[in-house]
Amino acid sequence: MSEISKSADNLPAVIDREKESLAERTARFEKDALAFTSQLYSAALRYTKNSHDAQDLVQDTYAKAFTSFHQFEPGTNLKAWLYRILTTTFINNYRKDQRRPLISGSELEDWQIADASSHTSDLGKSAEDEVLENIADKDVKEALAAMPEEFRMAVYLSDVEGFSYKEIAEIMEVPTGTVMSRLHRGRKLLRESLAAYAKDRGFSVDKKNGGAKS
Amino acid sequence: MSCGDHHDTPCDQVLPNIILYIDHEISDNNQLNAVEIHFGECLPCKEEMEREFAALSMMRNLLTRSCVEDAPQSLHERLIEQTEQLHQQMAAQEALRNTGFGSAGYVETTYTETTYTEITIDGQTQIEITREIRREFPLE
Repeated sequence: MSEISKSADNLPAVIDREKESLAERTARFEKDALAFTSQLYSAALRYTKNSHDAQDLVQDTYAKAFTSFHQFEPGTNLKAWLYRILTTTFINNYRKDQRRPLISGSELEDWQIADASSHTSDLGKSAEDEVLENIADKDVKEALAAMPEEFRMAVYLSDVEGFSYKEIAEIMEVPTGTVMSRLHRGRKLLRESLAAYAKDRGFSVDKKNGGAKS
Repeated sequence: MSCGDHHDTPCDQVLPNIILYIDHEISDNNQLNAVEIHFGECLPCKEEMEREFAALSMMRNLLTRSCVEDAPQSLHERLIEQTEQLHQQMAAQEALRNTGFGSAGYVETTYTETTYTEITIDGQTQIEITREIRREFPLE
């Protein structure tokens, strides 16, 4: 009895792909998948570093997504699925230097060793944080763009898109440990780089009372 | 290495997990409890965690503020157009497939699809497809 009513309650949310017509599927794609256009475009901009390629990448991504949309299981994570297509398409077709070797396997050990057991981490000084908030959007984008691709992607997917380590591992097709390593090192790199921008722009921890250099 | 005080979970086991804690990536409840109990007992670790949290939040805000952009209107339009084109292509392929060996290999196997092929008087073949949906309900 309870099982029957339970399954009846679930019915409206369930999309039976076997019974869905192409027209219905197209409508569902336009409604659900195309809603992520701006988000994918923002990510594509960080991947390709220019608007023209970013637009093409998003278009290619949606072409692939549409033709395999029947394989996507409704109710699972559509955003992660789209990001996975975006990322794979970028790596296979857009990356400028496709033969560049990926970061070696030693990165995992680095993560495990990195500032693991000390109270005196060089990250997270609050005075520095106040200073970093003054950095211009352009500088943030430049700092990201200058980072190695694997770090940039991991940081973007985690800290802008809020994907979990496991989701990022699936999107980037690497083990979770590799994600942790890239994310950790990427954040550290970005932070150092932003601190350097802040210094260049005349904000600095020492001068925080005066703010920008006149 | 350690703050010097005794804890059930020593500092050097908590500190490496601070980032995991902040990222909500400690899935083991016992481990999560142990870390939270430790933060309650050990001020240096708690402060370390709060600093890390503040630093990461600041960076996330900075990134989000700088990187989230609207796609150009022309891209939205291109995507609608592309979807329509791909839809037409797939509809044509589907039609072609249904004139052959039914819906073999295709997902819509529970449909009964009827295909009418009409040949006009001058010999030109015209194919018209009418899809009749007769759903068979599984005995479940």
